[in-house]
Amino acid sequence: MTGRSRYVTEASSPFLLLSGLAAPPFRGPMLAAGAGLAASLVFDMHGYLPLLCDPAANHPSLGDIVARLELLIAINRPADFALAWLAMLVAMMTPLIALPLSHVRNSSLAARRSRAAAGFLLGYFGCWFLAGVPLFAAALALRLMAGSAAVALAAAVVLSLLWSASPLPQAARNRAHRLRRIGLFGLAADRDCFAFGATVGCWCIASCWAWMLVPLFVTYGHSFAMLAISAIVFGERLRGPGPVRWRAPAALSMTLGWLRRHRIPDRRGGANGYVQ
Amino acid sequence: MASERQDAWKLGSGWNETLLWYAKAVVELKKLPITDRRSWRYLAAMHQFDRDLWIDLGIITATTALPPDEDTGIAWNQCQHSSFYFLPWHRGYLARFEQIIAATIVSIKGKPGWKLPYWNYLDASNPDARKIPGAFLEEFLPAPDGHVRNPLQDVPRFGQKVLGPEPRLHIDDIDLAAMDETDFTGSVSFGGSQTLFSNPELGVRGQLENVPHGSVHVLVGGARPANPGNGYLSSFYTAGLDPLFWLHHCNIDRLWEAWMTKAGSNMESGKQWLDGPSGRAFAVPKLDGTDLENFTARDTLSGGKFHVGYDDLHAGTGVPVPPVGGVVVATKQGPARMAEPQVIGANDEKVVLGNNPAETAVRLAPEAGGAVVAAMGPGADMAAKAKRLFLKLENIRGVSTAGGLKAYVNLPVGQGSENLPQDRAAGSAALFGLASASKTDGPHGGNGITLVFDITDLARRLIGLGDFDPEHLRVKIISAHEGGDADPVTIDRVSVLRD
Repeated sequence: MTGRSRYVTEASSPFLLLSGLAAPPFRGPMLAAGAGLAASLVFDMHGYLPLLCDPAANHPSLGDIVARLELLIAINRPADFALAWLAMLVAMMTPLIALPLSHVRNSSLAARRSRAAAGFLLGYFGCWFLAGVPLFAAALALRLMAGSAAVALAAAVVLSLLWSASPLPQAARNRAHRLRRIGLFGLAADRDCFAFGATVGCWCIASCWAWMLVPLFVTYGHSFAMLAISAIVFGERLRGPGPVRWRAPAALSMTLGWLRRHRIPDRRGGANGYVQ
Repeated sequence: MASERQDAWKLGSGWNETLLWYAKAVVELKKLPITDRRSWRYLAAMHQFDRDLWIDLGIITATTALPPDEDTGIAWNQCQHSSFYFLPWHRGYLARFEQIIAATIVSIKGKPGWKLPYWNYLDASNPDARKIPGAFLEEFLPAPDGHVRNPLQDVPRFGQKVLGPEPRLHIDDIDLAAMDETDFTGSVSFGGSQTLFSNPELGVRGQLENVPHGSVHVLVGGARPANPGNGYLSSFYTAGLDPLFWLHHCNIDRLWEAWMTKAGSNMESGKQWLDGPSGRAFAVPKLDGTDLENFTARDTLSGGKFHVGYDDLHAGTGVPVPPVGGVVVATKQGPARMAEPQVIGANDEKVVLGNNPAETAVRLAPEAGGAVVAAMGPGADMAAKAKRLFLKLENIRGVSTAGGLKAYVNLPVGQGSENLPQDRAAGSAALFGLASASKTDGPHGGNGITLVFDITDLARRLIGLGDFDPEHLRVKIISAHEGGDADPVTIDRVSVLRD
């Protein structure tokens, strides 16, 4: 008696989801993410991008890449690179930590909440910040192997979809949902907040690293790419914990779900029995 | 047949018509393959499903064909616990189950209009109320079907046949204290904390979900080491396979309906609850099983497609009958009145509970501790006195299917572990679904169960006795579960909250 169900969706209304994101505990992190995105957009912070995605520089040799890297380092301050990477992380990752951050704040004395949140954020973004080095190296390697920026971008997207479909990121995400005790007093409380942030950060890296390569190969519309990837990794996290197995990547299932809701005739207007 | 749901005990003892037709319908649904959306096993898997466990228990075999992933991904593993969706999801689930049973009864030449009865175990006016209705204890159906195994009884149950306290599991007697909570939503509430569909970071049990709901599950299903086994009712994965599950939840649903008519109750009205959850929608099979159908909490309220009436909202609910000429209270909806309680104290280390009790010291922040003593002592003003104090056991995890747990505050020094004084008890809980909630790849993300006990009266008594040192509250926790010392139950943190 079971068959393909045209009328029923795993997802609920996207508008309801959006209104939920405008309320606590998501509102603050969403605003921070917006600020990170705006900073990336306004200040044109990603000066390293041409190294990876300059369409004019096809089939660069290792020597070319090294020479351009040296030039980039010579004309940019390290702080600029750091700031650009941080802005990208804040824009893309902050929505993912709304719930663990809420756990940290709610588990702390009212007077210590900001300090507790700071400890958590330090641990979380600290891990991601350090992960920037191997990620950038991986992006360079991919660029070398791919030859052109367009092929590197396509390869990064395919790699990300394959990674998303595999059981490994789900295993990492399951662990990123796990809460940890937060002490209430003194240095023990600071240590717990930092350690919790670092733990969530490491599992987030394990889950999302492939997707983070994608925007690095997009020069024009880099911020749009960041936004799209951010939505994908956020959607993956919202699916919650689950069995560790191969599955359709959230990027595909979300798109197909949207198409089913909006493109299949007679799907609207309470066809699924909603009381409107 | 009646148009409203009725008390199972008032339908007649033993094999009354309602329970006899229920049994016959269950026999029919059990014949259907699990791929049929109306089958007994498909309906139970909607609550929660674990293929390996079901194979181990002989519910399916390794070669049993299951429905396709795109179907089970929507319809199975939906059960909502430790969430403000607990009551509406189970209401929709119950309503469609009831309709499927009713349709099946008609298909085997029974009368139309069958309604799910409720097990009114807290009806003080009925001396039999706490007994499992007789039809669930008979081994065979009555003549002329006397050779047919009774499906209402043919299910592993190792616990009580008459509900009461279970000291071997440290589970106190069931009561109606939850009905006194005035807010539907919150970490201390009637209905549970606000969550998404999957609630690993946010979930806190509502008071009704703890007692009587969780207690009845474990008291009847049973749990090791007090009982010879863990019954189907004691686990999220198998609860829906016990026909008694549906009568128990029918009473829980009735308690919600009664609570909404109680003066002072404050029902949830937010869009996330009414039309949610965002991220994943609830679904039930269509009545003929040909497809699935979404529903929301809005559908379960008065006027909605899954709202069903009851014959009595007073017996066994604690909600008084309005006086003659009195006005029936209309359901009030709005934001929670009580502010979310704030943490003001905690212990210093994770609590590990093997076979022996554990004691942990809870320290309140100096200012907050002083304020508690001042507010709860003699001479405090009314506003301060109205504030409540809570003991929170955070993220209780374990591999045991179920078990029980009880917490005490400031037991007399030197007190052993036997005959602990009830006047120092903070609260007790049946650990219904402990293993499932502790699975890293389960819907709770391995974060276990979080419980909140109201210790306002206990704190007042202790302060009155001069036995309340805010710098050092002694919390003793005692638990019974099958893991013992080898696989202990752990509690991440024991904290004190104040509204």
